[in-house]
Order: sequence, then C-alpha cells, then structure tokens
Amino acid sequence: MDNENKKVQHLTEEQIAVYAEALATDNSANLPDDVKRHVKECLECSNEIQSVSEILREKYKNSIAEGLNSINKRNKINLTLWLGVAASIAFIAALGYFFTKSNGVPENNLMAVDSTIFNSKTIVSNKIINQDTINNEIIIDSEIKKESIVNSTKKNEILIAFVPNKELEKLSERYKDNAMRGEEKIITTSEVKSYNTSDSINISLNKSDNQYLTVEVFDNKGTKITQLTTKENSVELNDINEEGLYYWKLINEDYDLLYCGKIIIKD
Amino acid sequence: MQVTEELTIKDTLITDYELLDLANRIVSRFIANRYIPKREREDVQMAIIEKFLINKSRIINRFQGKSKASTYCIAVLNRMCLEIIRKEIKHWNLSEGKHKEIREDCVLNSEENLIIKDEIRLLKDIIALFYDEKEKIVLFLAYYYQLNVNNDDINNYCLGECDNNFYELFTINDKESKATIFANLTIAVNKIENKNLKNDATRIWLNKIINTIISKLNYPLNRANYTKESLQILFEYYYNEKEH
Repeated sequence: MDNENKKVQHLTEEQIAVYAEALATDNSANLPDDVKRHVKECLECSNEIQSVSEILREKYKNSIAEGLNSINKRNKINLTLWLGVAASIAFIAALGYFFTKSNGVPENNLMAVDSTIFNSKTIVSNKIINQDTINNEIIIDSEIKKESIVNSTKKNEILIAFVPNKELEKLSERYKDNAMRGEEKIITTSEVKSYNTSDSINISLNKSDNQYLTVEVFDNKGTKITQLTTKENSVELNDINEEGLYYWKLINEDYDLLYCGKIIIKD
Repeated sequence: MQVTEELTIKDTLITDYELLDLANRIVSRFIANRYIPKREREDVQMAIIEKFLINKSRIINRFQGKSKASTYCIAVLNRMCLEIIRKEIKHWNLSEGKHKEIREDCVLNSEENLIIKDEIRLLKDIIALFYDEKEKIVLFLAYYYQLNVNNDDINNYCLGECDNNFYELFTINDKESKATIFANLTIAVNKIENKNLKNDATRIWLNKIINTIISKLNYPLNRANYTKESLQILFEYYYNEKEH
C-alpha cells in the first residue's frame, strides 16, 4: 500500500539532458542501471529524453561544428582516477613528512622523495591526458556514427570534411606566430596552406642541424592520415587526395611538438 | 571578486539569443507534432521564456555540469513547455488537421512519407531506451513478426555465444505457430541468458515489451493510436530500413 502511494521519482532535467545526449550519440555505456530501469518503464521520462535528443539532432544538423565535443571535459575524467590521484598525493605527502621528520636524513633521500613526487605527478598528468584522448576518441567515434546517419549525401560529406577540429584548431592557434620551442624559426611554410586535390603538398622547413623530424597529418576528425620522417629541408605529401581540412604536426626526435599547421584541400 | 567570477561563469549557461533559439526549436517541434496550434506559437514561446527567466537563478544553481549546458536548458524548456500543454490543451482547439481526409489512393505523398520517417525514428529511440535489452528486443520482435532475421541481430544478442543450431532457431521455414515461435524464443533466452524459463514467461515478457512500446508511441496526450497491429507495421518499416 505504501509503495502504491509512494510518489514516482522522475528524472531531473539534468538527468534527462545526460540521457538525451547518450541517446543522440548512441552511447549509453556509462549510465547507471537503476535510472536505466526507470527510463525503460516511465513514459514521461522516456518521452522527454526522446524529445530532447530529437531537438539535439535537429540542432546539430544545422550547426555540426558545434558538436557534442564541447561537453565539459571534467565530467569525462572518471571519478576513480581522481580518487587515485588524491590518494597517491596524500600518500606521497605523508612519506615526505615522515622523511623530513627523521633525524640525519641524507639529502639525496629528500631528493628521491622529490623525484617520486615529480614522477607521480607526471604519471598522473599523463593519465589525465590519456583519459582525455580516450574520451575524445569516444566522442569523435559517436559523432561519426551520428553524422553518418544525418548526412548521407555527398555534398554534406564534403561539408563535414571542412568542419574544424576544436582541439587541433586550438593547437594550431598556439603556433600561429611560428616557432614555439627554441629560438630558431623552423617553419617557413605559412600557417594555412591551400591546395587542389591534384596537387602534391609541400612543407618547407628551415633546419640548421641534422636531426630527423617527423610530420604527422591528421584529418578534421583528429585521425592520423599519414606520417613521414625526414632529414631534409622540405617534405612532400602525396597521400592526401580528398577535399577537406587537415592538420599537420612537426615533431622532433625527442617527441617535442615543434609546430601545428593547417592544410586546406579544395578544388 | 570570487563571487563576481562565479556569477560570470554561471551567467554564461545560456545567452538570451540562445534561449530564444532553443525556445523556438522546442515550440516548433510541438507545433509540428500538433500538440500546440500554430496560432499559439508566440504565446507559448514567450510563456516558457518568461518562466525560464523568472526561475533562472534556481535553474542555474541546479545545474551540476554533467551534461552540456545547452542540452540542460533544452530539457528545462521542454519540461516547461509540456507543463503548459497539459494545462492549456483543453482550451486549444486541436480539431483542425486531426481528422484528415481519407484518400482512396494508396500512394503516399511526401508529407506522409515524412510522418512515417518520424515515427520510425521515434520507434528507434524508444527501442534504444531499453538500453541493454535493445538487441534482444529487436531480434525477438523481428522473429515474432516473422520477418527475415538478420544474422547481425542474432550476433548482437548472443555476443559470439551462438552456433549453427542457434541461427536455425530464427530461420523462418513456413508460417510458424505462435506456440513454436515462443518455444524457439525460450530456447534462445535459456541458452544465452543461462535461464530456465517456460514458454509462458517469454510470452508474458514479450507482451509486456510490446505494450510498453505502444504506450510510449502513444504518449503524451494520446498523440497517436497505435495498436498491436499498427506497431507490427511500423516495426516492419523500421526493420527493413535498418537492413538497408
């Protein structure tokens, strides 16, 4: 009887929004089971989710560039990772405290603790970056699925190929005034280069030393298309024949990113 | 200083222009689905915008950043719009366009094709909202309605656990009786889900699913009048479209 009188707890607007985004991107893996059960049974909530996701689809059809990839990144880094980070930092801090309290601690022990902290921070930040990359891949993947449903005509496909990639745009923006690392300006190519599909792409470098440099080319979805390593002062790329917006990265032997530029191929 | 910064961040939840745009999209969708008469567009739009602005600080405070801010605002505005529809529907004369002239020709015009397309998409969404059961539901309904079952749908359900005998279960030899259909479905469930169900349990489960889908298709405000027969037709459309 009590159960009958108990008021049904519907989803909040934010939960509806989260579920609608999951439905629109066909990605429901991380949704909690109890709420999924509620959605299966509840007419009101499932209808609201469906309505919101329909509006989302409509919205994206008109402005694909906006995409879902601007969803707050902080939500993408999972909670366990943060807990792990907090626990390791606390543990390391406790260790450091213990060592500094002890008498006659050799200096290099303190240095060892310092270096442990540094290393663990590096690992943590790398993990966060990896997590971000994975999440970006998931979002990109689901966007591709979504886009393939919505835009089936060739015209739209070409249009999609020119949608800027948010992350790579940011990166290329940082290298707008040419060299970032070191004093010398390695790149003599303009930051945005335009070609026809029949052209071969030439990137000019201004190297003073003999080291190898790697050029990686990405499409606007962030997928690596090709990679070339050179010792010369220029690189010629022949693998890119389709119209679209591409990005290229220049990386040195120490895996430092030296430059990020854009290539536009349009007939 | 901190308060000012916090306010600035929170105020960017939605701009007035975005609010207007979203309200327009939401109301347009309800008009297209014939919940709201065209002539009420501006009134409803203004009503939800006003309600949103009055409650803006509460709406902002409740937002935890789990979704995109604009999606959250769509959900809020959509719920507000539904509240207005529930309240006002009796006063609106929705009779126009409800009783369509019955045509004798069987060729669908482009408007009807669009409506069918929308209904198929709605069915697809409703099935997707069954989450972990969606593959099972698609497969079982396809077999229940005696459609040519796609092997991919069998694989999606059994996740690589199936052998040739399992594929045989979903082969349609002739017009099979309902008893045989449920017997085969039960064998499938027991094998894949490691259960020991009787045919009746499968029948009850599938009937419950069909009734839930019908209710969801007809919701809200009896927007449609789906029955088991019309669901079957819609599902056939959906399944054939999925195949291609």
